[in-house]
Amino acid sequence: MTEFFQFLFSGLTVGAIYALIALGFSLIYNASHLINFAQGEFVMIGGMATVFFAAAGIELPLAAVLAVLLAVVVAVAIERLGIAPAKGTSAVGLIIITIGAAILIRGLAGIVWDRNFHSLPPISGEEPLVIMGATLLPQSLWIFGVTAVIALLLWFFFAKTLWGKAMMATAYNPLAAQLVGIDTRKVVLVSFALAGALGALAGVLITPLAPTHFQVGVMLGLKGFAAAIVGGLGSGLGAIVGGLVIGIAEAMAAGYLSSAYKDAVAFVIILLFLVLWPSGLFGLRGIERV
Amino acid sequence: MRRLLGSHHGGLVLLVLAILLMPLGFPNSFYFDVAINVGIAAIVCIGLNLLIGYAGQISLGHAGFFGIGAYASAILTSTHGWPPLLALLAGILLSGGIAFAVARPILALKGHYLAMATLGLGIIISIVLSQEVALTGGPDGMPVDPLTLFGFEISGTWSWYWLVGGTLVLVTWLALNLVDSPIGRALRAVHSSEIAARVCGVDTTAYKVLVFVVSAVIASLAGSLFAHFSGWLTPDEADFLRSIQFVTMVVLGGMASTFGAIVGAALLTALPQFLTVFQNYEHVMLGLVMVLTMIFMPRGLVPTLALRFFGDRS
Amino acid sequence: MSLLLVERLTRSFGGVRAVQDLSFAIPEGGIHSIIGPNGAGKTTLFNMISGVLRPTRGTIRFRGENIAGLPPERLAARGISRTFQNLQIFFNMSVLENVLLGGHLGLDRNVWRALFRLPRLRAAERRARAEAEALLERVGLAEWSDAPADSLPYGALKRLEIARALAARPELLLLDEPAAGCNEKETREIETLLKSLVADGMTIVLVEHDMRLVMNVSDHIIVLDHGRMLAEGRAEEVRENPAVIEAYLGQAAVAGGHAP
Ligand SMILES: Nc1ncnc2c1ncn2[C@@H]1O[C@H](COP(=O)(O)OP(=O)(O)O)[C@@H](O)[C@H]1O
Ligand SMILES: [Mg+2]
Repeated sequence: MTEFFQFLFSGLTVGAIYALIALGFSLIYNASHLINFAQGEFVMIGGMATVFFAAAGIELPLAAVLAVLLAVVVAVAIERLGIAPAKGTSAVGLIIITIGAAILIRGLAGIVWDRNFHSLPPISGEEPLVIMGATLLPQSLWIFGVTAVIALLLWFFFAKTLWGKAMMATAYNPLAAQLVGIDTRKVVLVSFALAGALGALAGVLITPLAPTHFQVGVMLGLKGFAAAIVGGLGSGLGAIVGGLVIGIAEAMAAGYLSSAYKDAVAFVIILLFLVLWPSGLFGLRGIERV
Repeated sequence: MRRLLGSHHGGLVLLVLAILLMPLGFPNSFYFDVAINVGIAAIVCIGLNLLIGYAGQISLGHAGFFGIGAYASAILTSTHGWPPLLALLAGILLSGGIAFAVARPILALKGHYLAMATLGLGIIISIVLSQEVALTGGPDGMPVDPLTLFGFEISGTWSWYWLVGGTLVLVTWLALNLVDSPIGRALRAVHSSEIAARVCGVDTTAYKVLVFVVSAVIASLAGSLFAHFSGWLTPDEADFLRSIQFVTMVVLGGMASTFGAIVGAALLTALPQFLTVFQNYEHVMLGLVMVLTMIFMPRGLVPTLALRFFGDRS
Repeated sequence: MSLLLVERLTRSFGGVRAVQDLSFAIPEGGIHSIIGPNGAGKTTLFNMISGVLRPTRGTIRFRGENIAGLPPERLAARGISRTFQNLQIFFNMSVLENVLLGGHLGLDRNVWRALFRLPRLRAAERRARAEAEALLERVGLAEWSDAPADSLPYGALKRLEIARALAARPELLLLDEPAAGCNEKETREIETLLKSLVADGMTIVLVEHDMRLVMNVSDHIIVLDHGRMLAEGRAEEVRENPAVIEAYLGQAAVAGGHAP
């Protein structure tokens, strides 16, 4: 049983990270019906930039804030320089643009920073809590807490503020939203900025537990996308539940089955969901599937 | 010129001439190596272009089939002593079989969902290849026996050059034939309007499955050739980045253009070998090519140039 | 026996009943028009007959067999062809190739013969090309044959869709507003074409807003409104039906209110 809880804690921790990434996918998807394959790079930027800002002598909290801002700038640049000029491009074309942007960012990170693994100190020490015989690191609590707060803030933003409502309107019907005077271009831009911030935050939080590297974005991004699909693309609650489901499934598979195939779990789940349950757990809209 | 490039045989003659004459300008065997790698990538891209360019169905996982072919050849010949040709055919059967098994549910998806599903498939294949260490040698890779065909060992750059060149010409000819047939038109119809295609009697699902299997089989064939040619095989050949490279070659050369696929494969394979910027900044250059092509030249090189110089819109 | 027998056909979209409880019969041969204001359910009806949409309820009998819910490719094989109100041209092909695709089911679809371009396939392709050229001639697009489809003007595309539908040698041809957006001359050409097709024994169901065309060619008219049948009969009967006049006048009044 101790073992089970140990796996559960590590699954929940990484699952909360996937949830933050999945929220970014869903935000952008809602605003522009686009899958941003560069989402994982925001996570990499969050970790790597914090490491290098700190190395340059900046206080760690400030370094983290700057890293998040950097990811926001990069996200906005992707939208402005890559997505906006390609208006009218096919779905395949947009996929290639965002993948291209991801590879470009990765390449730049490898050059501007380096190609080594880096870690960060945990926010409040490494003294683990022991629950049901299993250990839980304080960093995990930080991750749960931040993810919960973000989830609440996003809920408040979308349910209670004018800007959030405008973004929801755009998600449901972009044309109608435009007609009632919502600047849908700005909505897309804001959603990219938010997604960049969420991704980078995930990167800052996970780096003390799993070292960062210029290529960590690939897998983290894809797993975040798996989480978004499982939860139902575009659903906020779905992103969080999906993230936890993927995280726990991965941890259990690694613990009980084979750690070699840990990375495959998310992709098997994604294939099963896409084929059997494409709208996901909480997806409202039907999938493009004539 | 336009007729020459536009018509079936004209383009093929140009390709044959290029393959025959290029060695005259090759100063050393490094150039042959590059040309052979170009040919292998071009074979994959011709198949992938049938899927992406003609039928309009994206795949972000075709390196998986390339890897299955490569490892089938490597494992069956080196570990089990099969004749290479038989191993190659086994790879084709395995790739084709997997492609056939997954095609129906996966190709019912569209756009981003299809991209994600094919990506997942490709990644699962590459994870299996790098985790089954006993079978594949894992991430460090495994050696591959030389290729023998009908008792002759293919060794040395010249024989490899002619073998890959000949295969490329054959695959190009088959692809051109397929495109210019009722089947090729059905594929293009699927791309343009599935509803209209179905109303015209096209069983769109059957054609998507067909083209997915054909492109997987071609990738597998190229993978087998690659394994024997390089003599050492690592799972990198089947990974996500490799899949993306293949797609980028197709897009850069020009979707729905068989010769475009060859040009795209040639550029993205040869440039990193000859330009040091490309070598040092591989990711940056690849990413830039992808983004800039889609924004400024969404039709790709060959169709764009054909339109500019010959007014050829097809 | 009727060629097409529609019984209590219904299709809803969420709360909207686009077609409700509709029954009618189309005998073999002749031109049968379906008219009605925008949103009356004409296109939805075509979508169900051609298999593009599944009916919510009801049956569609073609030569006596219930075909409701069969996929479009199966219905194409049974001899039902259609055109689309919103053009569905294959813009990635030439004009001729569009027509060739229309005749897909009659062509050699063997993969091996296609890959190796065997003589049998080449011969079949030559015959198909000749037939497609003849069809293009018939709709007046002969000189466009090798042009890319996306270079054609709108009116020509409408006729290209007809040629593509004809290439399947259908027994039942469904035309959804073939004259929409066509000028006077093009409309007269379509009229002539329809009459010549009927003379060859084809059965045509026509949805059209150009009343002169409808009145000139129709053997039988069905009037739809809000998904239900409002009237049915020969052209002159329908023209003088008070309910029809009201449905149309009502719409004209609304349209007039928005006119500049
Ligand atoms: N795919 C659809 N989804 C939702 N509503 C539809 C759809 N197709 C048609 N409708 C609705 O059904 C009604 C009939 O439409 P349609 O068949 O296109 O009419 P018509 O062709 O006579 O103008 C309209 O109210 C239309 O808005
Ligand atoms: Mg209509």
